[in-house]
Amino acid sequence: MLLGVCTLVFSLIHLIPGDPVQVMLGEGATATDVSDLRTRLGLDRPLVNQYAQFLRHAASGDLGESLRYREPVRSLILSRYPATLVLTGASMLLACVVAFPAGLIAAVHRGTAWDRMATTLSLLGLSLPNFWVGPLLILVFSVRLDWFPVSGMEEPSAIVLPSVALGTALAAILARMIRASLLEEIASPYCVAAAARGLGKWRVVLRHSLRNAFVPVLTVLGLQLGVLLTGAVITETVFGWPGLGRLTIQAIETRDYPLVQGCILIIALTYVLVNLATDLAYAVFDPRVRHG
Amino acid sequence: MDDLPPRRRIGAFASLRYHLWHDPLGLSGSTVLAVMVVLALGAPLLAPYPVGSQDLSRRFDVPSALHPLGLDELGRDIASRLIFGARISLFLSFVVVSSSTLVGLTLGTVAGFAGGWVDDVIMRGVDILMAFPSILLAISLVAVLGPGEGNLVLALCLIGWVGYARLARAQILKTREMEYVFSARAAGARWDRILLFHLLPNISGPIIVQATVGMAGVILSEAGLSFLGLGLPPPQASWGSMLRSGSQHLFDAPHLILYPGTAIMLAVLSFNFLGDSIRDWLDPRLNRGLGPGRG
Repeated sequence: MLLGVCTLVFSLIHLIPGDPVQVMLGEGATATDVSDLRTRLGLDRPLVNQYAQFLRHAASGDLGESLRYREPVRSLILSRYPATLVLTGASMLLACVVAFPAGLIAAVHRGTAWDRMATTLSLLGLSLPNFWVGPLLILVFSVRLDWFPVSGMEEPSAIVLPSVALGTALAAILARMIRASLLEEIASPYCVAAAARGLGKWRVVLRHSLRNAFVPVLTVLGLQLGVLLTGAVITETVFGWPGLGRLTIQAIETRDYPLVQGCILIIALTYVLVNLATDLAYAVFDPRVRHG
Repeated sequence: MDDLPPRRRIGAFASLRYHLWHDPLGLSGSTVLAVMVVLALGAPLLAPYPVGSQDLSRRFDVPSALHPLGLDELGRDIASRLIFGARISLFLSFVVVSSSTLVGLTLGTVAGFAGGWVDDVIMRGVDILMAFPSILLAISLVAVLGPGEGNLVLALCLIGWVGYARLARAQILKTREMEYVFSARAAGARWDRILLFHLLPNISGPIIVQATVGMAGVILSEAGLSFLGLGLPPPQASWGSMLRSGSQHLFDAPHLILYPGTAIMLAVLSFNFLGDSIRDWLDPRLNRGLGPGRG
């Protein structure tokens, strides 16, 4: 899978219509500049050699040099990566804090006004684009109320608005998933038996159903962490958050393709590794998976 | 014959219409979408002003009787641009979803029906594409191919078909073991007949649900890419590009982002409502007498 992702990222630069070097340098570039850059990027070699070199370098952590910053891509990514991890972590935490009680209440009080409210709000949350929620939050909480900074990450409170913008959709997805998963467990014979023995509704849910219902939720949580990483590309741009996502967009705008390639590779590899970790965690939570 | 339940006597479309009419989510979703489609199709007739008409002296004007949603940074009527934007956003989504469905359904069906190495080759490709974050792949593709309508559709189709392929394959693997397929085989039906007349009609339900919800996803992706400057170039009025230009004047004229954002949210919400409602209609456990009429 990792090889597949690397191949896809490698092929991106070769998809550029026409001469990629000419595109990177723009129309004003001289023939010498074009030739120099082509040699520097190794684009004058046969494709197979380029691919082998790309894999060798990627395996050793060498992602080339940025055309704009004149710095190794690796150090640029390393300097921005923690900010993205902080943002995605905060968004996930926020989403869990909102989604778990909402999903739980909706499942336990199925068919009531609470359930309908949670279901409708979660569908609404799913439909709110983060590139719209972000500017609206800035407008209300930064400009009108002056509670949070408009952009950057200098102040600790600066993380609140980007986390809300990024975490809203995840909270909605998780709440729906928790509700559906819990409802399925509550209808299972072991829960019906527990209730028949006189256990209260909440006791059955909290002591028996929740752990089993958590397994499919965990899968969604893992998959969504990857989605958050990519969603951060837009959210970081809106809030001027100095993370990997913003660096990617800046690299795209300046046609800094070695940096684009490096950023995309790192985000994609993180996505794959998170999915792998989710699969492994699945076995920890579900003994049926562990014992085949 | 009088004892037969109603589902035996009515067609699938009539049954769906009945379900949508009696399901608040389905009814609200389909109503909003119907209005949007009418506005999109009749944009040149229904929009108060032509899409390119400008009044530079009245830039950033707030809503008034003449311009119910105000004017943008170039003095263009926002309501008219929203209506023309509906045309672009809905049309692009329709093209992307129908192309992705066609490709995904074909490849998924072939993989599931043929099995063996054909299945392996197709599904390994699907696995690799699914291992890659989809919107990031779309951003990368548009970044290297360049912004524009064709490249946007191509990028969204390239990330879109995999979900349909995986779903179609799973459905084919399930339905090909059904007794009616064995009966058809035993009766001497050819594989193409089994595929076209027995398997495809029976796997269409989940595909329709995915395509409906997929429309919402494509609207969001297109708007996201346009917001990043990787969508349609100006002066084309997609909702995402309106949001992008509006966000550059966030502090002077907040109404510029309010309306396109609301339009995106309404469209996405309506497709999600409709998708959920169709899913309920197809779910036999939730059917209350008027199912999809597949019996």
